[in-house]
Amino acid sequence: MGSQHSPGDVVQAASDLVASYQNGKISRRQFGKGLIGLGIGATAASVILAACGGSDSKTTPGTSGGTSGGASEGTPKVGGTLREGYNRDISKLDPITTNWYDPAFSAIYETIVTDDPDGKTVAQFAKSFTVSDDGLTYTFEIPEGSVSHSGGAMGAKQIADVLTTIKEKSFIGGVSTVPMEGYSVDGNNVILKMKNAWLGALNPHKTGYWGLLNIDTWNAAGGLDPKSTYGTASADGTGPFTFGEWVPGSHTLVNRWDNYPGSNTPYITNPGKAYLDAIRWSVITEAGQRATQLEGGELDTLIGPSYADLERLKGNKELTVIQHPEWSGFQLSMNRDYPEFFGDVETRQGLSHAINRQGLVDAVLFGNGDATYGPFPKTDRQYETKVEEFNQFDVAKSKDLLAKAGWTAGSDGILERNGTRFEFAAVVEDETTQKLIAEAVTQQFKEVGVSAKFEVVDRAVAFEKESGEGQKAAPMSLFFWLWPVPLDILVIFSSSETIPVPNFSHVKDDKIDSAVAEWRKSGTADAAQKASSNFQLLWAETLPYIPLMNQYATFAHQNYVKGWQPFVWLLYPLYNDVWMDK
Amino acid sequence: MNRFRRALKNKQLVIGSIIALVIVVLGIFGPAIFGDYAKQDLLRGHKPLGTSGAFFGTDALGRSLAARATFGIRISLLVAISVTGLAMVLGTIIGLIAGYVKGVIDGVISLLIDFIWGFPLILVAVLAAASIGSGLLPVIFAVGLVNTVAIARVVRGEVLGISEKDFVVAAKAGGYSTMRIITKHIAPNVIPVALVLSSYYVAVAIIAEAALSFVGLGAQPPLPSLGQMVSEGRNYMRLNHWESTIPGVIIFAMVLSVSLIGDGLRDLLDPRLRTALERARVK
Amino acid sequence: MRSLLKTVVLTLLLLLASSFAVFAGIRLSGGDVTAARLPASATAADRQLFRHQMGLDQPIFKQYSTYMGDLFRGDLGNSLTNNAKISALAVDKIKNSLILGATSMLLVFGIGIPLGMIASLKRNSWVDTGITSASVAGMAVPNFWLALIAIYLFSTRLGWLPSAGQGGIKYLVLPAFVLSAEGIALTVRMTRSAMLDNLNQDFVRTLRAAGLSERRIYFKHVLRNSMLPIISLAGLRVGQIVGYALVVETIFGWPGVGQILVNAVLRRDYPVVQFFALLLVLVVTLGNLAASIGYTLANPKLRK
Repeated sequence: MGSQHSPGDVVQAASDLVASYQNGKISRRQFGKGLIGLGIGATAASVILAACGGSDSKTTPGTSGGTSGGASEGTPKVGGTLREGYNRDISKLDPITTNWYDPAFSAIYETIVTDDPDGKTVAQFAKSFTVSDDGLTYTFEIPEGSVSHSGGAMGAKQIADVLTTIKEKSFIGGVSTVPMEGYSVDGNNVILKMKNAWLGALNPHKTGYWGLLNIDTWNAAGGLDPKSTYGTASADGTGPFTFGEWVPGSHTLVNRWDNYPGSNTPYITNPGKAYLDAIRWSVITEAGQRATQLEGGELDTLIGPSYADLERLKGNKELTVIQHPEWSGFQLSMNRDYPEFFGDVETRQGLSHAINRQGLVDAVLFGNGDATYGPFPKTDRQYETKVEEFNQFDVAKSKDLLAKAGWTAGSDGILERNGTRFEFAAVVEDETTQKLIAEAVTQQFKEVGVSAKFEVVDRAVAFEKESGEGQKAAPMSLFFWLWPVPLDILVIFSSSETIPVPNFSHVKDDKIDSAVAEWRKSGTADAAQKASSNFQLLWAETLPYIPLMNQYATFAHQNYVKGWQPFVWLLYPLYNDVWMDK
Repeated sequence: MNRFRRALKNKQLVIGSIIALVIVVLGIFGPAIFGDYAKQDLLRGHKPLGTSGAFFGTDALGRSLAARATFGIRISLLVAISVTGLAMVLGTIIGLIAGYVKGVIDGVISLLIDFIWGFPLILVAVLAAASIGSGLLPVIFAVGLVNTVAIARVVRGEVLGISEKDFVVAAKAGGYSTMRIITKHIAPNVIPVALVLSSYYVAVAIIAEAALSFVGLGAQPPLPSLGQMVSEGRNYMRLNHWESTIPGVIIFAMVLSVSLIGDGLRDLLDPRLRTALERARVK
Repeated sequence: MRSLLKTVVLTLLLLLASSFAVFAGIRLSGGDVTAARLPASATAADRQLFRHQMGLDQPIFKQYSTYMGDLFRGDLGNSLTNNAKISALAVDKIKNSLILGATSMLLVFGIGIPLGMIASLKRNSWVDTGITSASVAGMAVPNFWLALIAIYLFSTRLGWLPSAGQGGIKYLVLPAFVLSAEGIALTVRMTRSAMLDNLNQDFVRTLRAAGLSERRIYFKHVLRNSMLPIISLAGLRVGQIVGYALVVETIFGWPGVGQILVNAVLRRDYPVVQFFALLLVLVVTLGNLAASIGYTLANPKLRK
């Protein structure tokens, strides 16, 4: 599965696409999609796109343009409620205390900067931003007279306040801002000072966790108090939609904010308030029902159809399917507080070589993903291809390594070492894909004489069993991470600073820690690439976790929905330009 | 012999028994014939019924549906029969005591029965699974508890009725021991009802085990259970509906056969017991 | 009168015991309540603080008495997940479940009784065989599987009905039918056998001898006699429907009590589980009570 083309075909087809694009026959968006369709990853696609040039890659803050907005397909009609299907349960709409951020975040909140479809950092709430030559000072120009939904001022002071709160109070803020000194105000500007130059500084600012909220509303609702009603009964941002309803297990509703002044983001074509009256996200956790509801016209747009239904959706003329690699991964933790199992590197490598990753991609994801041999998805900007020299599926090698580590087969075929059977409890969340992976992995371990006894538990129990200290955490857990800046998250999964959460493996490895430190100090593109490569290779070899695979983010919409354009660099589409032609 | 001939003429009993026989044979020999239920072939997933090498086709991981379904029958039958057997013995004893001894003991037992009877089965199972963890154990516990109570209720009611009948009153007056009255006079009139009733509760147990596994509270993978197979297969209805149809049909056939056998046995009972049973079923 | 009072008191005691069983059961269940509420980052101390603020670190009997005290003062507490007032949450959920439950009850009797009558009228014909076989099958088919088949057939394949959600009658059709299937089958059987029993009774012969028309005998006398035990047992059907609603509401995404209860169990949202589980137990217990009273009233022989 996956790409069925021979290399020659791909080259030919790609150059045809390039020609069409340069002649203006197809849009940039169609072009990018065509490349990805050929099996050319998004990194490569964006390289080709950049090489081809194009007006929107040269846009400057304040001007609008580009074809990716999609609103140019006819005159936008105002009105209507967009019915969007969502494959996860919803999280609270509070950037600071939430465990996860949902698509509603990109309707209610703006971030100070964001990504454009080419992966270039562009302004969102800020009017513009600059970086000093030494990389130590970032200056964000805050638009004058800005207010949030409640009418509260959102000037430079308030923005600096909320950013400081995020940095200091939110967990994610804490771990991803280590090289940052702090925020300050200078007239209309918010200044971010760095301890050292670091190329990763802006990345966290583009995520939903950095959603700019009105800090007064947040404090009044209770702030960090667990009894706070912020994000469940109210939310106060600067995005084009305001809080409506929030019902976990069911839906989120937002309504157009009529005082929205228009976006500063260059690729947004809508000059003012949103076209849609409202957006309603329905939680649809039954995998098979998502596609059925879209096909039945009960939904306008859908995030995360089941891969089993994808071929059918692609064949439906009423619908458009959008797909790109996702910043996520499936991994197995190996709790080092069970040194009898996971203490030595040969054993960990032996286990890793027993995993048939491509088989998992084909069987579980229907080919909609990539096997991963190191920490990162293949499409990461800093992906190090040399990780693929590690962790390839090889049962003979797996057995060799396990034998080298001192494991010998017992009477029933299960390995033993110093009187310990290679048999351990493992935990997986009760979710279709993860359960299936766990079953497949169990069998693959069994082939090399290792008995992983997976227990399927609900989310609350899974978290409890992953996050315990010492042996309170399960020996192994299968989990899924999803994060727009892979390096940030994978660093904290394996850094000794973050035991036991989210370093579920309880890895304390000086080499990994120093690779992390190195990366946090990297001020140039070269240094960042070097540090990142070093981290990836170290990770692939010493295996703090067993990487499994990375899935493709998948979206589908009715053709009458215009301007709904998810792209690889952001988790969710922006809703400013969305309208319905019906 | 006469009874056997009557049984052969009873269509429900015959059809039910034939279906049951097929299922039991599948459960006993299936796993040996169709091979290892855990063996996977990731390149041969979602194959439909009749695929060569996999009689009923394969699931998402390319595992044989035939091997999994027949092993699932085994689990289902083991759970259902053992749970119901236990429930029948316990329920009959509790019902006999409560119905005959009466007084405070009956009061306490009846109260307990009504207490448990107020919980929907699935809620009992959810609470049980929540306190002892998912798996077959909470299912056995929940179904066993509810079935015991159901049988005890009926037996108690019957005993109450019978113990006022002339022959029991006479036996009491004649100075026979309580034990003797219960075993000689009451039990023979109650046990057939309990037995026939149990066949219905086997059906209840089969459905309950399947339903609980369907919602993820029952058998844990990789152990295949029919309810869990239906649940896994539902994600691929459009692709290969056999993955949930086959276990679904098997659950249906199992329950159907047990119900038919129950109906047939009821017709073989003498008419007086039959009305007792009818009353018991609706209660 | 005395026995009625006794029954009511006992029922209240039962409910009290049930409330404690649910209260303790869900709290014994493990799973980290803070996972639903606090960010992944929260330290052990943060989590402990949260439990303390929510009173979850107190002895279970203390927690229970606090809870019951609040309950009697009309305070159902707040959801741990979203802090919503449970009393506000409950109105909507109960309304939705009532709509679904009442429709199912209507189907159980509205379809079950006429079919059972037809079968008894056409006894031993192919119509009877068809209806009887269908009812045997209806009692044997597991409802969760029936739900999948119904969705596959009527929404996925034929596209006639929506597969999930809420809004208008068409959303009600599939879940209501699935929820009532077993009840319909059972009612058909009971109606048929009650009608046949009554047709063999002496009074029918007397009426016939008196020259009443068959139609009149059938619809007036036999039907009335047969319906009493069936209607009087409606309470039992309530219990059945409530139990199944947990699964059926979840599959069809019907935003009722069953669905919120299942979700709350998964999140360890104790106050929500507590209230809605108790509500279900209350309904089932009352249904059982109504059935046993109704059955006694309908069967003079049992009134002793």
